Amino acid sequence: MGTRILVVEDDDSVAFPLQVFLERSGYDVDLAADKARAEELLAGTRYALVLADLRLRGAHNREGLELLARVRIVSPGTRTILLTAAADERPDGEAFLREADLLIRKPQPLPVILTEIRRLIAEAQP
Amino acid sequence: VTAARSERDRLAGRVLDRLPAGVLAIDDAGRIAYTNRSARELLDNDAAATRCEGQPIGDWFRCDPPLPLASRDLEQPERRFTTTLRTVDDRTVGLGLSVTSLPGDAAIERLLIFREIPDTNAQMVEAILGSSSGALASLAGEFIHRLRNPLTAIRGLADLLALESAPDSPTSEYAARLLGAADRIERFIRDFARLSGIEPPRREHISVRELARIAIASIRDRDQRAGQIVVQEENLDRTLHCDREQFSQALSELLLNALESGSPAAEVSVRAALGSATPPGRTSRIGIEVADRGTGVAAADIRRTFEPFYSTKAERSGLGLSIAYGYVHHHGGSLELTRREGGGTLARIDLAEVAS
Repeated sequence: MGTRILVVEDDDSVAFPLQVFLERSGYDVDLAADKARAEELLAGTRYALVLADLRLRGAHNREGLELLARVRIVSPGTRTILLTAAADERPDGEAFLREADLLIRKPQPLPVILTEIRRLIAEAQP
Repeated sequence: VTAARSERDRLAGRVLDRLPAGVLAIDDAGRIAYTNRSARELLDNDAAATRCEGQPIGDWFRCDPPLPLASRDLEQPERRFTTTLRTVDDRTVGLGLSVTSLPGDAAIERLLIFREIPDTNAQMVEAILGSSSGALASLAGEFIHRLRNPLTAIRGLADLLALESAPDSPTSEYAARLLGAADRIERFIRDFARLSGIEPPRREHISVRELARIAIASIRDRDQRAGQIVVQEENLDRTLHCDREQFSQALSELLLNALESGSPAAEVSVRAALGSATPPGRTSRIGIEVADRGTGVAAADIRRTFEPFYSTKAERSGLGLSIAYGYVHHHGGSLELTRREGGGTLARIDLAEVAS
């Protein structure tokens, strides 16, 4: 079985190229469009990495961060990346990084995201 | 008759002194023969108790473009134009000006009537900055967020297209062009985010040397010639009390502007300049100057260069200099662009200095 990644992104047009690119790069990729679906998948599967958008469908614009906080508890070995399209030039990056291993700003070249994913997964391996 | 005439002159003088426009007469020897109150307020240096009347016009009315004072200009009865005046206390002021020729009258050969043009750059940037914490900023934030998602999709699809296409194929070129356009949109969005979300400065003590180092390092990937920029050693360890990130960004915008002006990179220089004419009792000021030998800015356009979206370069967002202006303005400093003698532009940030 290959290395499995969960992509949590409510915008299908963003998720699609990311999924295709990661699959071509040799990963098994699951997609979830919201927090509830992501939690279902997390309950039954062990992921090497979860990549989540900060703002998913929900009421308070931080569902992605809440999800990654949950991943930290239920699956401490899973690496996490938070994606954000926020305008703020100086977001509270340190607060984000308490829950996520890495903060990536949209848009980024897919090869750049891939490099970061490879690095995080390699670091997690014993 | 003499008494009546003298009363009429006094009345005329009072009327002229109440005009909001400056009125100035020049005699046939090129000296200032008369000024009304508005003109004196702009030209006289009260601090030094100097008066312009009786002095050569060129010493007091230093403007760019210059006044049409050649004898051939006398043939034209009236000229109207805009100009930038540098006052004796070293401020620059935009003026709308009319020059009327009165040949044959030795006492008043030319009559100047002028009004100050409000600084639209400052007004516009102030309007944007003033709303940073308000509705416009949050609207802009939401707009940027919503724009970035489809842009991420476009960029991702272009990455895939590039990956799928054979090298040197038309598809690979289309993908490259698509990526280039997406990058341009992102640069624009990023600059817009910076301008609409300028935060109050987080001040710290930092030397001009350190600011120049950060600014040059940050533009190395955007212009490889950044390494050739000349940093002049004098006064580099002078210290400012400013936001490291905002000030180095302001400086890098000025440097990028200089590099893109057509100037040889080795002719782009940064220097720390001490305020030469600090009146006693006032905080000393320090200038950071970026000079180039590029094509320069037309005199008529120089006051527009900080306006948001004003750019002569297609690939720039037209926001870089507005951002620089906004950052400096937020620190209580000033930023000015002037044309250099011999060609090129001098950008000068002026800020209060703190003790080193």
